[in-house]
Amino acid sequence: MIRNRLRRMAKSNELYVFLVILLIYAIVSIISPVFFSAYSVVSVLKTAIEPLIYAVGAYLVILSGGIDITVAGIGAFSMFTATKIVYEMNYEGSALLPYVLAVAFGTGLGMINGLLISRLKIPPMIATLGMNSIINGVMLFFIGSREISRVPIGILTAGRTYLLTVYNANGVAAPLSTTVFIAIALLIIMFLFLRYTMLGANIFAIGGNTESAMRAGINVPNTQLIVYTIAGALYGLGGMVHTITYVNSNPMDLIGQEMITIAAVIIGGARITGGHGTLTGTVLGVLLIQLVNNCLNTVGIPTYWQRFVVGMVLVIGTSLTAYQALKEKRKLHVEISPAPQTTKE
Amino acid sequence: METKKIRKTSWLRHIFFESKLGWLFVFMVVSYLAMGFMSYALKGNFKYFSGSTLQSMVGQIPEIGILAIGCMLPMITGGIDLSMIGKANLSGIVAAAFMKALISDTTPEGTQVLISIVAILLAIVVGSLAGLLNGLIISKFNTPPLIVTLGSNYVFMGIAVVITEGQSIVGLPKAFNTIGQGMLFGAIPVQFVVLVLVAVVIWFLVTRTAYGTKLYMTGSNMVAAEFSGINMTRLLCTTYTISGVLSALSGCILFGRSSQANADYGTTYTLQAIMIAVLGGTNPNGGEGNVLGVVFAMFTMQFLATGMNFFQVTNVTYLKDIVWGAVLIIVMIVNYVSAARNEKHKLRQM
Repeated sequence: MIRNRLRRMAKSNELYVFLVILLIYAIVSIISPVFFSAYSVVSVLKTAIEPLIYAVGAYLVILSGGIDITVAGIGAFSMFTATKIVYEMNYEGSALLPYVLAVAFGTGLGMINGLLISRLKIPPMIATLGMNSIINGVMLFFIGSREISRVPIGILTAGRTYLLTVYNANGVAAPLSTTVFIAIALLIIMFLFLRYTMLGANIFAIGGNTESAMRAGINVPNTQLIVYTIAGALYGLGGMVHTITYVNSNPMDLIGQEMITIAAVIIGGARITGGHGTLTGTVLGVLLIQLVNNCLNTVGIPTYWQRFVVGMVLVIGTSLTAYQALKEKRKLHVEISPAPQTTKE
Repeated sequence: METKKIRKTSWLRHIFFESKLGWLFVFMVVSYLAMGFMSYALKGNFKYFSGSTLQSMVGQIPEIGILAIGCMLPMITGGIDLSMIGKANLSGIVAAAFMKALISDTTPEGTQVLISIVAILLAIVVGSLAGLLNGLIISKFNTPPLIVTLGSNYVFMGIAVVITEGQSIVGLPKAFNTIGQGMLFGAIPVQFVVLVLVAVVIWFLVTRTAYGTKLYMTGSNMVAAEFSGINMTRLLCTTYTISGVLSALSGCILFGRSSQANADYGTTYTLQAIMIAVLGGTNPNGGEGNVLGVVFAMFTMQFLATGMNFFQVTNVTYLKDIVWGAVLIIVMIVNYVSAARNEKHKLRQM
């Protein structure tokens, strides 16, 4: 039993991602020993919180066999509109209101995505592509395009409340914000949701094979609708976390986030065709990308190599998993195919 | 060629009812007229309809239009290419760096022209190699095109940024800029001529050659196509390579028009190009799409965009985002509704 489990683990994608993370960490620590410190761990974690929240949303969508490129659109719209409303209201309460507003906007926009995809059968890629354009346009044209740097007091206090602060040798602080609790809570809820609820199982089912899921009596459109709605809510939440972390609300900040998010989920081993992938993998994928971004600076490689490295990791990582899947499929074919080998003895 | 016979009996009927081409054409003309009259209503002159406006519109279409045609081919096979702009920037920047290294102010005019031509050819080689790489990974490792091209877009852009070290390459030679700024016979932008050539060649490829037939077969049913003896590796590699060549052309036009090369140029173009391809009737699930439709779609988009410039509102780019997204989604909804109606119609006939 344990042996089986170990064997499965050795085959799993998560293990490889984890090993790659350790490898990068070790190499960078050898090149520049400063990196081997609590400071660098905390600074990676700090930057990983926000992408992690997006990635969980994108993970759900990819798991269901779809794709969502409104990550940046919904995230930016929710955070910016929520901040703007709170700002215009001169609201002086806690950060709870902006959170609620951002999640509400995210939910609404996610639901529109879901309706377009589940009811009108528009391919997810195209529907979210169009929606992203509209959402961005509406935000920048009607709501505003100038950043709000004097954020309301509630957001300011939330952003300045730290769980712990670690200093490096030069006395530069890496504070871990309390938003880390949001990420942890989200992961626990998601884990339980996917593991122990009918709906969670349905998401895996429609991603694995829509046709059989439908035959098995699963309401595919409704499940899709729920998936995109949850994803939207999470992008909204992530957007607000962004504002709180950086104590600044700039509608242009998140541009390009959609591709990085999808990359993280895919690196974590989720299959773009749906049905495969774990939450652990997603977390590791996010950590890997953040680690790469972070340590390139440490080693002294100019930031413009970042994109190249992330791209290489993505292409090589997915090609390996896809190739493995192909080999498995071929093996299966050989096993099923007739012509049993006749033994001449 | 049985379809040809049917078309001969009533081509008008075919165009309007059996394909979306007619509607796309009508949509294009209507958007041209509507935008023109709207700008007349707002500004009181017919400047929108003037030759110079048309000339500038025609000059702006090619860079995005060629990308859209390049996007269409992988989409017909059921794939997608998100690395168009990465390839365009990479090949454009290789060409720019090549010219910068060889041409100085004292280089005679004739040599400059020669070097510029070599640079454009070099860009095309780089673009096709980049495309070939995509094709090889997709066909050999069976990796989903979406992911391969998403990743390779980062790689190509990354290499481009590494070459330029994050700076722009400015002051490209005049001879090179002709491809983005020159006028043929003093009136037709050179880049538009390139677009027309590209459109004709690709149209010929997809409708009149065996390659085209295989392309559509693959898109409508990949398994069946493979079992009927189509060499999938070769087909996919060819397709992505052509898409690479087109990106390289677009990259040259892009940098020639602005006379400088920047690795971050046109990052929003990827999604716009896909949008135009889909508007032009390309089915993102594969098997459908034609050049003429995509050409109509790119003109429509340009008419709408230029028309909005006449509105004199601030932040007009964002308004364009809204309109383009809305047009895309509306077109998809109309497609869905009409497909559902056709289905019902067929059922009733049975």
